[in-house]
Amino acid sequence: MPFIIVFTLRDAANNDATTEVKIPDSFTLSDYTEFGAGMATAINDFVRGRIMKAELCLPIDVSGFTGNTISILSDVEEIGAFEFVTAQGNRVKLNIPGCPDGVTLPNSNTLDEADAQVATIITAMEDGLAVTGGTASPCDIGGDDIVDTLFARENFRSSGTRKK
Amino acid sequence: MDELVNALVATVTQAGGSIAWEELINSVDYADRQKVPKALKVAKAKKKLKRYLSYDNGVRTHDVILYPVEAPSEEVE
Repeated sequence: MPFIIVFTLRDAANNDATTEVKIPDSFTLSDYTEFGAGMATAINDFVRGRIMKAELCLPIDVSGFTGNTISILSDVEEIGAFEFVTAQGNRVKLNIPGCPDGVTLPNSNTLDEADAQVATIITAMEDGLAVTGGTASPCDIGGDDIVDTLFARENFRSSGTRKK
Repeated sequence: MDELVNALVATVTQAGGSIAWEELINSVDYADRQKVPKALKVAKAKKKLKRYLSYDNGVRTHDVILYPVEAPSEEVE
């Protein structure tokens, strides 16, 4: 059964939202934390909000990010919506809150896959991240490897939480 | 598309087998910029190029590398 890493992001309005990535259970604990810290960096480079935490049962250290200034334009209800497909054709969604405005193609809500931060997210999901024990590559809930991107676009969705 | 794939392979080869993502994107004409991700998928399917991503000590390395070539097996006479 794959392990799930959950990332929590906060925007300027103090709203929180989460997104998650699944990894096969064939790695060591240090590999998971290494992957989680790397993936958190990829997401942090992509979003304008602040990554508050990343969790794999045991918390992953993202203290390096929490000192960042939250952009006044950050909004966790702006979603970077990615949908991938596995080798067996199963679809896997990755909805990252805090999507910045400047990464879409002109006159479109399609994310620019040539953009460095967007491309990094896609590479992390399709090809994985190099960790000490090899390459940790995301999968679906059944452990099937993600091999391609169906779409990447900006969506808007209620975060579902209100702290004020 | 094949022309772009060949151009990307040539660029990575000329760079010594590995090139940063941003550098590869900037190596093509602006009009072809959006075609690079698709071309890389084609190159990956043909086992010519693949992406490499790591965060060693928090430093991101996002490269496009030549597909690892296995040593040819020895022919048995």
